[in-house]
Amino acid sequence: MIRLVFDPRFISAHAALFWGYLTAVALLTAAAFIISFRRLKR
Amino acid sequence: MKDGIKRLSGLKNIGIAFICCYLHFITEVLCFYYLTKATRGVLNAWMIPFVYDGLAFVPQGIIGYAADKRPGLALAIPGFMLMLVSLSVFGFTSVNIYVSLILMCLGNALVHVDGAEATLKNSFGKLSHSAIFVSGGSFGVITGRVLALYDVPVWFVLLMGISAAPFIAASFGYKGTKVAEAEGFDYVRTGISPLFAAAAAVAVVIIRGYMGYGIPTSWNKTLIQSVYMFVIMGLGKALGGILSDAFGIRKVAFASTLLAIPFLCLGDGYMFVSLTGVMFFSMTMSVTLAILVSVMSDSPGLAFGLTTIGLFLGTAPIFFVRLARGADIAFISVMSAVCSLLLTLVLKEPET
Repeated sequence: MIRLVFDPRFISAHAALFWGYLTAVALLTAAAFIISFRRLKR
Repeated sequence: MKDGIKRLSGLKNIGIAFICCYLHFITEVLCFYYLTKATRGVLNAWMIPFVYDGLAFVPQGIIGYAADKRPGLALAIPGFMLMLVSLSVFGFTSVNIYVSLILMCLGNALVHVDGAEATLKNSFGKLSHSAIFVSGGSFGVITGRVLALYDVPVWFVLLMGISAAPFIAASFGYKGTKVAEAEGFDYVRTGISPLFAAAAAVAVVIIRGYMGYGIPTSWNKTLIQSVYMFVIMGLGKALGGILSDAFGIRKVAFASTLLAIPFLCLGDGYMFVSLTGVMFFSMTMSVTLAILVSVMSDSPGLAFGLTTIGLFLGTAPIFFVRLARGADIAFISVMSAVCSLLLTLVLKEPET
């Protein structure tokens, strides 16, 4: 039903870069959602 | 029909929409010329657009928030400078690809936030402005790709980038660019929690982001067919806002999400059927933005940033997994119906 379309070996070979990037993106996303939650009209 | 045309003829500051549309068009030309060139013949090329999506889309939330705090910042100027430097570094030096990629992403994010702020603050609660601004991107994506595929030299694309300068200067003439709030957006039904409305809008953006890449389009094999696809996407985005202003946001949201289902599901092998579905589904772009600005009118930049974060969240899975044929059609049908339900639940027609 769901098939993988990437090469997991590539991610293993660049693990630090890949997870570092994903962490940065996750932190930016979380920050934007938290700020938005506080800016919502009550 | 007459009333709708009358409402459209009364749109104020529509000039800023076309200025920002051109700036958005040129931004995407630069970015997709770069991306197409950078990924050609590269092993595991998916990593470059994946990083691009994250670093161009996600920071727009924080950049938008900063721009809301300091209205009047001309973010398009550093934005274009970063993109031009990035393309020059890529085209004329052998510096690591990720240096130019990061510069390109940041430039892209700055120009997007600038255009969103300018159109939302000058539209007095109308959707056409932001819809026309966003539609320029689709035309830019395919133009950038075509220029790269035909090996147009870098200097020519840099010249296209410089052509944005008078348009940036023209955008300064619009007063709303310097105010803090986007006035007049009141599209969320009374009694609906702002948190629910915002979550629903982001959910619809995520679904639209996924469907933009996940819809079955086995007909799309040639360059000219890709051109049709992006042109229709752009027209759909613009039409969503224009028709909402003319006939009502709730009607357009409900009709476009529901009408998209049969066309998207049955259009795998039929280009015109599929394109009709793509156009209908693209119409929800300005609708979701209007919902977010309605519940965050003092933070239009942040509201726009949430939609771009939603787009990243929707497109990110495409780089890793795909649904099997049949499952994707079922997924599209269910998700479009969910979108239609959420939008109809949240939206109200504005008082005229």
